Amino acid sequence: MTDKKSTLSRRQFLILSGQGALALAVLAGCGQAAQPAEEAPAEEPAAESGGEQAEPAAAPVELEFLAWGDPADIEAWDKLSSLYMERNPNVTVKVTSVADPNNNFYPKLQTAVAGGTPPAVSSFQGWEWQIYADNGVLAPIDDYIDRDSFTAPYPEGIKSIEDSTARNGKRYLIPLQLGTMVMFYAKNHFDEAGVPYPTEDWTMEEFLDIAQKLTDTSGDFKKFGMQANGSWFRDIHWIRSTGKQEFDEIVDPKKALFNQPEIVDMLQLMAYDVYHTLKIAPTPADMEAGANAIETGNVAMKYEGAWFFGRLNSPELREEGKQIEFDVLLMPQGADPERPHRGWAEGVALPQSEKVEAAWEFAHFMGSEEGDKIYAETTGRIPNSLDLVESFWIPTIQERFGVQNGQAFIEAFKRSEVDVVGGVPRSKMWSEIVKPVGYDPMLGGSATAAEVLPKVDEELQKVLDEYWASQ
Amino acid sequence: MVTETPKRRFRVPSRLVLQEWLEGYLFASPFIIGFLAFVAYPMIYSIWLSFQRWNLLGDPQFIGFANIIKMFTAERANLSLYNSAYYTVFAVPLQLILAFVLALALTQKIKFRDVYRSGFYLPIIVPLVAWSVVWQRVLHPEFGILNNALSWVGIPPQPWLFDPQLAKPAFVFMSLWMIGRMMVIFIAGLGNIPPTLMEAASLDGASAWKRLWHVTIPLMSPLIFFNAVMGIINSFQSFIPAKIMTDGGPENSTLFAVLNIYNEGFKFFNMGYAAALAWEFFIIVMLFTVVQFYMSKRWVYYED
Repeated sequence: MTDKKSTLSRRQFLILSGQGALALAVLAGCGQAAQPAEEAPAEEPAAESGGEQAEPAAAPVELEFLAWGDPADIEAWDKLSSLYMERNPNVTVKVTSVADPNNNFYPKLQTAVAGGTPPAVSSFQGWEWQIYADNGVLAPIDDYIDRDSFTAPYPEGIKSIEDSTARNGKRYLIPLQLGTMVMFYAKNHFDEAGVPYPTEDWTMEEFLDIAQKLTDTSGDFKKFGMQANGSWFRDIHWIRSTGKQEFDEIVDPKKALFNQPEIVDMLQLMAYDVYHTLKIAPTPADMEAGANAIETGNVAMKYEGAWFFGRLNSPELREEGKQIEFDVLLMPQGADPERPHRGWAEGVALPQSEKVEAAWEFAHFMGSEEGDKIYAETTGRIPNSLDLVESFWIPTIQERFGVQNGQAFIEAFKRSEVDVVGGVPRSKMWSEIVKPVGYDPMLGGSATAAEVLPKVDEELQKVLDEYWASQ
Repeated sequence: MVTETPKRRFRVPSRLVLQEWLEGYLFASPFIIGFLAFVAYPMIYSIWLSFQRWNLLGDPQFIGFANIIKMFTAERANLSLYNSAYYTVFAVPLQLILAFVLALALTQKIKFRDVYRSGFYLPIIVPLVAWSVVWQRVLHPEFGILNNALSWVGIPPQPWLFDPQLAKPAFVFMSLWMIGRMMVIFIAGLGNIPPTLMEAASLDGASAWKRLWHVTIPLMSPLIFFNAVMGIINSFQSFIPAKIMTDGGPENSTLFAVLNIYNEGFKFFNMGYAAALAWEFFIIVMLFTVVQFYMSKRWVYYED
């Protein structure tokens, strides 16, 4: 007869299994929570260039780098982080590139900050980091800049760099690139139509005339004189060319002023007429799924930046015979005799953490001459100092992308101003108000600039008033 | 003689009963812990958040009923509810009718019936993001196959996702691609209809239409009700296609309620307001469901 006491019943077995599984789960959870993040001890500052070998006894450090995941940048981040880790074996740089960064980068960053897990280093555009600094999320870097004499990216006298890297007397952004935009033109359109290439002294009227001459949508292969950008932040250049600006101040604005006659006329032209009246630009419907764009050969001119080079012409495209021969020049002369262009610095900032020192070393390396050359060469973007632009970048883009008039970028940057920076991010103003209230109806052809811009002002003013009331 | 029911006295559970309770909760504990941590706590937290202003960076600031008032007065919030209601009112009945008709067809004895059933169910297992991208191409104003097909019958190309008047109908049309789930449920239900009832109806001289209307549909009414409830809930929750294909445009014509909540929270960083909108939406969907259950007593037939 079986001794029942010595055998385990099915019920008892199930109970024991459940208890065991629960215990394991609890132990695993406690084990993960108990592991502290490894950190570098407080050491004497590293050498100036930031890329030299760390002292052999340095403790392991893991740095998370939340990176802008534009296709042009991903390869650069890999090169820079690999090289840095090679020279600093105690440092592990974990790069997280955010795909479709224009839509996804800041939600991901903001969620990480809210969750208490900010990255050690984060990409930032020059107009988006201010709200993070205002909320104490970012570490000021003035002491590090002074200690390491890292002054090349902060030349005196260029206000757009000052406005996009510093706030309330403190520096936060480490520039990896200077940003400005100029007119790209595809030479074949001009050659085929027998129209001379534009020259630096061209005017707004000449620009529109050229665009109309180069537009022909009668055949199967449509040709457009220009590709409008269809967004406020790109059209800021056209707005400022009128001599007016859409806020009382472009740093910490208090008053929205879209509804001025000059701005109304300019946005009526750029956000409505070019699509629906003059028909010299492909509509958003025409451009759906990437069709009818300058890079598909359908458009003669587009306002763009250095990151766009590789989409038109590159060694890889030339190998396949798919390159588009192009060049660049300053934007047409508008009513403002200063001929302002948009300009800003873009790079990385350091969220507050116990790893700021180690994060600075990595960011410093990326922004150093050596690191920045790697970045500029890989991405085509403009380096972070005008000296490097002249001596290194212009010859490089000429060889790599076929750009003859790289000097236009220097000229544009010297007369540049930021879009708008302050406690209310430009992206919030755009996505919450300017786009749905202003641009969508204009681009869709259902309202004119005169009809929508007063409402844009009204809504923006509410947001600005709410912000200033909370300060 | 009146017999009084003796009052129940509270009796302390025996050791065996307590042990059984403990074992039961032990087995249910993973679900209970997960529910409390990932469902109940966030829901309660979001109620609190509805009364705050929070951009994820600083600390939340108490602002009283400002978010609630904004919820009722903001044009965009009301428009998003209208868009969701429009989509639901048109999409769900069409889905039900089409799924039912397909189910009827696919319960007949036809060749390759299983292949057709699989084919109609396949879109369900395609990730939503993937089919959103595909439909974006199908609806392309210049190169899309829908406009190509329409051109065969002389209809000029339409800017489906670029015209505010056409964008929502385009989404309703797209939703018909996903009727596989409803169809499968209807097929299962049709298979459970006793053949004797249909034979009896035939013998009584009922035509095919009368058999359908007076026998099949009443017996299928519980499943029609189930599919209607689930269809309404799912269509109210529509998010991914609008996010991928139009991002709420053109001119907010496809800004559905869930997309609006997402935008408020993760694009505009108005987390408190987004929480308030989410609760408003939850209450509306719950009310819809309660009303449906109440109305079901009038038309849903249960054998018992």
